[in-house]
Parts: sequence; C-alpha cells; structure tokens
Amino acid sequence: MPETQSSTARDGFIDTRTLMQIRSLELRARIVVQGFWNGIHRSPYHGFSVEFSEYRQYVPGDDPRYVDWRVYARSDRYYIKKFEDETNLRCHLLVDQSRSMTFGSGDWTKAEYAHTLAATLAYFLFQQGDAVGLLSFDEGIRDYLPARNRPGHLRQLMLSLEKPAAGRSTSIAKPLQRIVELVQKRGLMVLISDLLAPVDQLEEKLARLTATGHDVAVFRILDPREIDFDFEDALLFHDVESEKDLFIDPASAKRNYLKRFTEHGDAARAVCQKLGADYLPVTLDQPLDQVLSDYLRQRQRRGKNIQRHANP
Amino acid sequence: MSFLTPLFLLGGLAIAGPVIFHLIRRNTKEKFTFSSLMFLKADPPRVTRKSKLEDILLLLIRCTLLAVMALAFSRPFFRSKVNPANDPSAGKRVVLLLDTSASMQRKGLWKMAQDQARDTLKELKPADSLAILTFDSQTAALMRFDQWHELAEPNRLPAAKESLNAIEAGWGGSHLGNAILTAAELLEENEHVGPKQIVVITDLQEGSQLEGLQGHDWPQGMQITLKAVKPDSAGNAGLQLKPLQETSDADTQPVRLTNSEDASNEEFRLGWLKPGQENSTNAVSVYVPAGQSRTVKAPRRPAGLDWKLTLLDDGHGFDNTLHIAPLTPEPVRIHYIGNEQPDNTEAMRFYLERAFSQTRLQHVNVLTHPPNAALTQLTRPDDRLLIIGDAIKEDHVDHVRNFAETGHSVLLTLKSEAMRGTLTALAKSGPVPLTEARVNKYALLTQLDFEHPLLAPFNEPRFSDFTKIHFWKHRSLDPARLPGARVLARFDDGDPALLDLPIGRGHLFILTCGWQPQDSQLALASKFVPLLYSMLELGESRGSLKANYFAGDPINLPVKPGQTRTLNGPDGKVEIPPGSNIFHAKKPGLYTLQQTQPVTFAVNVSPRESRTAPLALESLDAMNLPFSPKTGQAAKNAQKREQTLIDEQLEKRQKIWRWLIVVAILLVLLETWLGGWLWRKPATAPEPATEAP
Repeated sequence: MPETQSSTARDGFIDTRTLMQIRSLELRARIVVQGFWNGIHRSPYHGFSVEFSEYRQYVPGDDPRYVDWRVYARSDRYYIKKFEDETNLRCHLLVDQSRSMTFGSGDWTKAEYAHTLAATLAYFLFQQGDAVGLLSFDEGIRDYLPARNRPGHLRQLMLSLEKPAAGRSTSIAKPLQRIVELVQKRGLMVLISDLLAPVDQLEEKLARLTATGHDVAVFRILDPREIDFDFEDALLFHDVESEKDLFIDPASAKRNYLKRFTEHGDAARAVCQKLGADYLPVTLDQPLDQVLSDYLRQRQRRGKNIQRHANP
Repeated sequence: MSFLTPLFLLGGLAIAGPVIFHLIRRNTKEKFTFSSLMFLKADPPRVTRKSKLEDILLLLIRCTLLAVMALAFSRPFFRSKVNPANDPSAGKRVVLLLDTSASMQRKGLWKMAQDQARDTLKELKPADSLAILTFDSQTAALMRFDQWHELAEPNRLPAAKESLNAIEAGWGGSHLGNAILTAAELLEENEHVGPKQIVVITDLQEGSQLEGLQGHDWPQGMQITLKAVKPDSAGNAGLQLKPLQETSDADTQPVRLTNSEDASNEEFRLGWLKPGQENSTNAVSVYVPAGQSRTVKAPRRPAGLDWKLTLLDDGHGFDNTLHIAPLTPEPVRIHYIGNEQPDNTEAMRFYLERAFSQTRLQHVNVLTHPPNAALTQLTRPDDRLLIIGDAIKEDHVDHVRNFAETGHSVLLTLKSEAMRGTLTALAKSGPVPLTEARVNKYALLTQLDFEHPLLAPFNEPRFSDFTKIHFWKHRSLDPARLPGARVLARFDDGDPALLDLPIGRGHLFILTCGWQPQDSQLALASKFVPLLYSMLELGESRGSLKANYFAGDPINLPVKPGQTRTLNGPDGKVEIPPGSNIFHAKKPGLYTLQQTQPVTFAVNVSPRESRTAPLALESLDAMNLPFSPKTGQAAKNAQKREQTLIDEQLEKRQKIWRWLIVVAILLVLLETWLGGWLWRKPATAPEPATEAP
C-alpha cells in the first residue's frame, strides 16, 4: 500500500505536494534532478568517442579509417577498433494524454504527475547531453518532437508537456505502432501511462518495440484510490473516457474490482518482464526523485547485466 | 362516500412508486467521476440493506398527494347528504299527455284512459313533479309544473285527480306529434338535470298525426312511456263529406264511407236522422270491405234543418254522423252603366249578362242603368261590382267613388275616346289625355302582372296564356297621369291595357278597350268570365267561411268592423272573445253566424279520426323516439342511467373534487419546499474530495 502523499518528505526525498505546487514544469524537473545525480546508463550503441569497447575483424565495406594499424603491424590482420558511445543516447518519452489521466483523488491528477515525471526525465537526460524526444498520445498521436539535444529543444518539450490532457480514450497500440515507424535508430523508450487499456494490445506493440532493439521502460501512473478502491457509499460512477454512468455499490463491487485490477496489473508486469522492459508502477503520492532513483538503480542493474552479457 | 368514476381510485396504487423509490438508495446527486469503469460491472439498484425508509415526511407527503389526486379524479360525493326523495330537483319530471280526440269517444276507452292516468299519478314519488296536458288537434295544459309546485304536497295528487275527473273526451282530431313536442318543450323549460318522462295515454289510432317527431333532438335523460288503451270491440266505419259537383243534384250529397282494417262488420246503412230518432225510414245499405272506402250518394235529404246524415250498424258512433249545412246561395248584384239593347250582340251588355250564371253558391243579378240614371241604389250589401260602359254624368262621379271607397270594385271600360271626361273625373288627378291607338292588324296582351290579386288566379302555366285574345282597337293613355295606378297588363305596342287605381278600400280597374266584337275578342275568350269573377271576389263579400269544418280546427270568422257577432252552435250561443277572429269549434254540429246575412256552416269530426286501427309500431320506431324500455335488462339499464344522472347532479353540486385539487396543489408546494430543504441540508456539510481542482 503506498504512503500518503504528504508523508514523503521525511524519507529524504522531495515532498511531492510542495513540488507539485510549483507551476513551472522545468523548474520542477530541475529541482528533482539537482537534488540527485550521476546518471549511470549505458548506450546500446558503439560509438567512437572515448572508451574502447572491443576489436572486430575487418570485413569489406567497413570504413578503413577505423582500422587499427598498430594491430595490423603486429598481427598482419585488419581489425576494426570499436568504442562505447556515451553521449548519443536517444530517448523518447511516450506520454499518455487520455482523459483517464485527468483523474486524481488528491490535489493533482495523474496527468500532472506524469508530465512532471516526463519533464524530470527529459531534464535529467538533457543535462547528460542525451537527445530527448516526446510523443504524447490519447486515442491517436497528439504531439511528436523528435529526439534532439539542441539548445531550446528542452523548452519546446516542456511547453508541449504543459498542454492539458484532453484526449478521450487510451489506445496504446496506435502510438506504439507509430513510434516504431517514426524512430529508426535504437534508443530508450519511456512509456508513461496508466495502462488502462487491454493488455493484449500492449504486448503486441511492446514486442515490436523491443524487437526493433529499443530499450523500453514503462511507468504506470496510478491513483491510490484506483489501487485500493476505498469507497464507502453507493455512488454513480462516471467514466471520464466513455461518459458512461454506472451505479456502483462498493460494498459488493470492491472485491471484484480489486481482483480484476490486480490481474490487469500483473498481466502488464508479466508482459514487460517477458519482453525485457522495465515496469515501474508509480502512485501519485510517490516522491519523483525516489521514482527516478529507483528507475536508475534498476537500469544500472540492467546495465551491468548488459555489460556482463557484452563481455563474456 | 360514493364515487362517480371509481376506476380512477386505481390511480392510488401509484403510491407504491414513491415507497419503492424511497427504499432504493440510489441518490443520483452523488456522482463520482472515475478514471475508468473497465474493472467495474453494472450493479442493479438495490433496496437498502437496512430496509429502512428514508425521508419519511417527504414520502408521506408524496403518498398523500397521489392519494388525493386519485380521489379527486374519482369525483367523490356524499349520497347521504341529500336525500333525493326530499329534493325537488332530484325527482323526476313527468308530463302526462292525455288524448282527448274524438276517437277516445269509443265505448269504454275514456274510462280506461282515466284509469291509466290515475295509475300514473299513483306511481309518482313525493319528489317528482307533474304537468298534465290534454291533446287533440290542439294541446292544452290542464296542470302546469308551476301550478303543481304552488300546491302544498298533500294537495297535489288530489288536485291532479280532480282536474283529470273534470275533463272528457272531445271531438277534435289527434295531433300526437305536436303534443309530444309541446311536452318535450315543457320539460326543457327549466334546466332540470334529473330524469324526465312523458307518459302518453292514447288509443294510438292510425289517424294520429306524427309530423315533426322525425329527427327531433330529444333532451338528455328524457323518456317517453306509451300507455295505449284499446277498445273492447275493434273496427270502426266513418263518414266523410265529399264536395258537391256543380252538375249534381243539390239534394243528393255524395259521401265517402271508410271502414277500418280491423273491422268485422262490412254492411252498413246510411240514412237521415233527426235528433232523438234511432232508425231511418229511407236508409240505403252500403257494403264497404274492411280497410277500404266507398263513395256513395246519400239518400235525398228530407226538408228541415235538423236532419243529420247517419251511418247505422257501426259499433262506434262518434264518427257516424254528418252535419251538412244547407246551401243558401249568396245574392250578388252587378250594376252596368250603358245605353245598350239587351239583345245587341255588338254591345258589351249582351256578353256581360251572359257571363254570370246562377250557381248554388251565388245568385248573380246584372242590373243595367242608363248613363244618366242616378246611382243611388249602390247601398245594399249585395251590391258588389259596378261596370261603367258609357260616359257618366259628373254628378254621379262621387257616388261611384263612394262605392269604391267602401271596398268595392269598379270597372271602367274606355270603349271610346269619349270616356276621357269620366276617366278624368273618376281619377281626380287632373286631365288624362286619351287617344285612339293605332293598331297594326291586332294587338296582344303582354307583361301581365300575375302578382296582383286580380290576375293571381291565372298565375299558372296552363292559365297564363293570353295570346289567343286579339284586340283590334284600343285607347292609349299615359299611366303617369294617373298617380298611384298600377299597370296590370300592356298591349304589345306598349300601351297599358288594364290598370288598377286604388280608391279607398276598393279598386277602380281601367280597361283601355271594350269587349264588344268590334274592339276585341275578349268577351269570347275563356279568360273573360274568370276575370270578371276575380274582380267580383276582390270586393268585400260575406266572408270566407266554408260550408264544412272539422272539429278542433281553427275557423277564421269574417271581420266586420264595428259589428257584433253572434254565433249559435249546437248547444246554443257560443261566446266569441272580443277582438278574436279565430274560433275553435269544439263540438260537431251546425253553427250559424248571425250577421246581416246569417251564415250557417257545419262542423264534423275529422275523417282522420275514423281511422281507428292501431298505429303500426314500425312507423313509431322509425321516428326514433326515446321510449322507456320495458324488458328486464333494458329497464335495469334505464334505472342505472337514471341513478347515474342523479349521482352526476349530486356530484356537480357538491364539487368535492375542487377542494381535493386545492389540497393537492398545497401538497405539491409543501413537497417542493421540503424536498429543496432536504436537498440543501447535506450540501452544508463538508463535501468529500471527488475531483482535482
């Protein structure tokens, strides 16, 4: 069970309530990132910059500039020198803008939280010199900013994130399909959504994304009330997306709801695990820096794993 | 408490609605916006677990409101409040229609009718009101509703019985249709909403007149009860006077004998009887089969006034006697002024004297005077017409004008231009130029004014053709010179042929030609005699009395201003109310109007009354009369309808529904206020956070 929203400050993290009261999204992101640092991540690309990675035998067609002549002098064989590229990580933030994201039982909505999270990630990556892109979606694509690391790009990204969530329903399949088509170069794909859509759609499209070689992280933003469904009286529930009304008596419906909700969450997690994507359920009362550090830690672990796999 | 429309009480079941709605905890005002319903399933509305009613007061008001509405629509009323027996307006209004026509004179019939009338009186309840009408050809009120109500309740029935005992069957014809319509009008007079009834006591004979009943819009709640009385012996033969033919012998009067369809006797005798006499010596026997009629010549009438033509051997004697007025021809004197020989066929006198023949009704005497004779004889009442065929002396003009002014006709024939002076003197409107007209071969009459009473008898296509009469000569005058003159006919050359110049109460007719063969063919034409008679009739006569009337019919007595009229009937002198000219002869017999020339006329029973066979029920059914039902189920239905009418009336008077509607409106206001107050009340409590700001 997540903690209440106001009790997060004592754990050394930034108080989410205070943070969310800041109007500027960029400022929020800066505060989160400044109180925290040292991004450790690895690029899935082999670049030619600083750190040597490995040798590979020359095959015709390789650029002769990267032939290590000293090795040739020693062994009379052509070897290509490969380096790890630390700077050109391309990250795409996929932010859900559907109406279900406008729900929030506390002082802020899931959409606001998601935007702050996206902004924080973007700021953090931008600071490292990584290229950050944005794709916001609801039932279709709303905004698309390609991943860049130009001055001013971050500002544009923030502006785009500040737009309110106005879409109707959540359809993950379409934006995922579109991003596969749009982004040819491999990179990091961060999906920020409440995933309130059928899981089978998610699985198929995530599979395509990972198959293309992208690194995928899924942040599932949830309201605490969605998780524990603590309602007392019978209410007329209004679906923000479908505009339908349903009369629900929590006394009888809660059990069933919790069961189905948990099943859905488990299924989403299982899909992510199966595809090797990071799955991070986030509740609205969780401090953002904690979320970020959790993610980075998880990523670091994965990074080591990658390295281990990379260097036998 | 009773209800006019009790089915509406079922609407009270709607109370179940608010009770159920209050039991269901489905408060739509608590709407919660949620991110997604994909994990939720529709939950059917459930009755509260506690089965506890919420907002008891509101529920009570709503239930009461529905109950009050249902009650109001069922239109309740209190029957016990008004006892219909004591309420005059709740009672029945009954009109008793009693037939007093001549056919009721049949043996035993009148007693039966009176018994039936008494039975009807016995059936009356204290709350009922009664009017008694008698009818033959006229309808008369024996007791009106206001007279009934004026009497104290215990005196009403005895008074009604007394007035019933006082009347007897009369001699008139029976106009049942008129009587029923009069009764219906009487019932409609005041707006009585309770049941209305017309009780008709009649012999329902075939001869009853039913005109006016068809398609009448009968008042609501009215019923007609027919109580027909039947004589012990069926069948009846009757006598009817037939008009005398001019050619027939005055003493052998033709009569028509009718025998009713249900008659058993077909052999009768016809003869003259004196009052008190029972058998005739010179009776002839007549055979008339049932349902047929025969015209026979009555035996020669014996000398004397008081003989009556009587049909013998008929069971019912009321219509077996015919009173026949003796024919007394009216003496008429026509004066002709002309200097002509009686046998000169070229002169007008010759044709005039032959135009008037002696008839049974008139004895016309044409008197010829020379133009210079003094006209002092025109003062007798039988002086009717003056024809001026030659120029008269100016001294005599005033006599002629006086004669015309007293309502007689004067004919001036302008047979030559020499008549100019007479014309000018008679017209008294200045000199009237008179010239001989130029006639090409012959002239014809055109533009006849058939609207004028003189020519009105010719106003039929078969009589209106005057083109066969040729006029060889005629005089021409300007009608504008005769102020007030009306041109009745013109010649085809445009000159007036016949003019009417009214003088006083009489007429001066001016013919611009003569009828001697030298002038025209008029004297030889078929129009000549009728034209002269028409002129004669225009003058005042002894009146338009006919020789024969039917009992009960209105008789228009001739008007003679300043003259006292005495009428002698079969029972002696008959009073004629002053100022009234209409006389209803109640009894058959001979009546004599005493005036300068006594006139006798006969009053007989209407021949329709002789048709005593019962009226075919089909003809009554065809009238679509609102008869009161007789059979069990229909009578029950009628009683039900009657009760419904009374109930409706009670409900209308009490109008409880109005108060119930007022209560309902107050309850609606209370409910609205209370509902609003209850709704606002929880709104003051801190509201749980539902949505982000």
